[in-house]
Amino acid sequence: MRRYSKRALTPAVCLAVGLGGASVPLVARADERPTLRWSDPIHCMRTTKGDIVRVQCDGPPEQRHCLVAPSEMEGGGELLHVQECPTIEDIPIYQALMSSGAKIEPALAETPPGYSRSERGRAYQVKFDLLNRVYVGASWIPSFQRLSSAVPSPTEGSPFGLGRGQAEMGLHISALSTHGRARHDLRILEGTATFKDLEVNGLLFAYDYQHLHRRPAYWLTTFIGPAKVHPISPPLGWGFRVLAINDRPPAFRDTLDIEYAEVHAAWDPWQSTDLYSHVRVEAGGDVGEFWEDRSRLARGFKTGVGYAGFSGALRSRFSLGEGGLHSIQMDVTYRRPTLLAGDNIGSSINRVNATFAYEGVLIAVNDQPFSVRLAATGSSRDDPAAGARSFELGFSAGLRFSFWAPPRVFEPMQEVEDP
Amino acid sequence: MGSIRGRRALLVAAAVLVTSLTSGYAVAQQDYQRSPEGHAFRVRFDPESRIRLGFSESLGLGGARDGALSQAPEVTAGISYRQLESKGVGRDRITWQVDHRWVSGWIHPYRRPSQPLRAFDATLYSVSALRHDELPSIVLPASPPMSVAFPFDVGFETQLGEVSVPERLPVSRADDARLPLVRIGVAHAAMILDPWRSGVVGRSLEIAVGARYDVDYYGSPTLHTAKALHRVAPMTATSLRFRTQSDDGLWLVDVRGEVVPHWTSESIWRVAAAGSARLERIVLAVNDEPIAAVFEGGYRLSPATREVGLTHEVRVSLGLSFNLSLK
Repeated sequence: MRRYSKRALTPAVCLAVGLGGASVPLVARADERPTLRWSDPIHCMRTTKGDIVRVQCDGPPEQRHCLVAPSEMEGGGELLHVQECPTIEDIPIYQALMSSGAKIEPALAETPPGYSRSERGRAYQVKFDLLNRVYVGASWIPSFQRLSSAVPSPTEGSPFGLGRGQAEMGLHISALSTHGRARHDLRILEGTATFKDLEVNGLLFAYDYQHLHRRPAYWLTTFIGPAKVHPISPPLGWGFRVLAINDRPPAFRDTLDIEYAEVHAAWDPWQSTDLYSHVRVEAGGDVGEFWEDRSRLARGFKTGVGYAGFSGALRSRFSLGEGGLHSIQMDVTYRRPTLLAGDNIGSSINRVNATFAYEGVLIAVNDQPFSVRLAATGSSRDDPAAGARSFELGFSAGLRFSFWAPPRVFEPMQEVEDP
Repeated sequence: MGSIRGRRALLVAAAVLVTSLTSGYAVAQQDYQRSPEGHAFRVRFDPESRIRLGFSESLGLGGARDGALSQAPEVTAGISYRQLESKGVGRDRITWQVDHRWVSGWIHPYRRPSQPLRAFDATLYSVSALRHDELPSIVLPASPPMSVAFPFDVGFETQLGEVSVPERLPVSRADDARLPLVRIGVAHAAMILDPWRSGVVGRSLEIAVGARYDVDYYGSPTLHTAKALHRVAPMTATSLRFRTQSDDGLWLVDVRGEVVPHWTSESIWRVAAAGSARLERIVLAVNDEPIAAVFEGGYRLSPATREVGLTHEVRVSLGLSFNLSLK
């Protein structure tokens, strides 16, 4: 009984450390036995002992080579992530196979793409699609900031510096449409909150669309000289976000900024074939409201200063290797809202944010990946009232625990998208 | 015998119908060309049947407080539709060209000469109708009635609900301060004579005489306490308009000038004048929706009143107009 418990733990904590997407499990040495192929037919047979085995044969009849894998976990238990047996052949069929002269080789049951199987038969996930997950995390974020003007810094003596921490959470959904040669990305209820100073960043909902269409989306006619028409399939997408909040940023401890809505057009000059990695340029506009003194919000929403203006971004995300174990993200966003009310009506202010982040999956617990995230962030924003510009620089080192991240699967895209 | 005549009439009617249908089909075919890849694309447009949204940079004389040139981004928009009605053939042909415009005008989104209003000029609705007769004549009610050749195409134009906030504000006679101003062109109607008689769609030289009623609201000193000045031109508003367009609709020229002697509510006659010019060239089309480069210019002379001095306004703009074709 004690031995059983120890072995049972092995597949539960499957280390999936790998560089460049090579998903080599360290504990479960699945390479010692061959594995049935997921894409080929499986025959299930009952042996003379009454067990059920999974059989996959190939080669000509006189040189038949058959892989035989148990159809249950070692020590009992249902085998998960296998093809369903269409029928279970009776014992004589198995006996005929054994006596046919075919080379019989013990094997492990097949696994779907993105999974591997341990010696005990436990299927464990080795590839992760981190664009689909619910995550929670915590990180250490040393932050530094200063104001450009001679205005006394409201944050003098603030606790910022090395001793700053942050909690974070979010829900990411990404749907790849192989028929439409397009990807839809959604971010829902994303947020961070720092400890001690309680800076809060939140996002209710964001949507982004990108595609790799091959059918011309536009026909451009030129009328300079003889009229000519040119087919154009620009990798143009679009997106929007709703209700983004930034409360108590480091440089302006009393302010609250609520961006009600943002909408943008996007151009993806480079995209990987599965649209997972990309470089994206966005341009659009946003509307929102901010409070220089956040305590006024208690007197109602009309106490804020509304704004509207340009928003743009240069975004990129790269998956290193095919396993989805390592990814790099680089974002630079620029906003130039114009104030619509208050003493500085009509004046425009600049807001810049930049993030460079690396995330790598360290281990997976019951197929739920645990990753490390390292990031550098920078931002700058104007305060129209004080005539000051703040600069913030931060670093982040933390851990993220992700739930329900499916295996990253490479489905071939349709040659030409559906009309 | 009668049945033979009836059959002939039927044959003639059928021939006319087929001819008119095929000529219409031919015109439709000419609107498009086919690329070597087999894609049909439009090469002819109706510049007066579209929804427009334009972005341009404008220069205004006197928009700045010191009277210097001012520069401002400008947004133009509007809906226009051209109706063509034709009946008869050959020398009996009579054609009506009716140009409608709704909510047409421009705005300077970042300039507020008359706080809190931005500089803009927009007209709720206007229509211009021109009748072309291949053999125009007028009938004198003599005995017997006499038909006399009449060397003009005729028509009418109407404009309702023009509202404008000028870039250049008038100067108060009392203290040289700039006064905010909102002009409302309540109604304008005029009869048109066209001596050119081109008979071609979009080409005319229009001499118009009509009446108009305008109201100017001067801030005194703000628009909350505005004073109204009424201006009535009792068939004394005269204008000259020249417009032409290329056969394929890629080019458009529209020039107009008007002089308006009018009676004001200050119980005195004044003379206002205005002019405008528009040059448009379609340079691109995306999915057969045209994008045009547009040059516009405008001039307005506002006569002095007891409150304010005489004002000249000049505005020119250059930009792109994005259009959705309605035909």
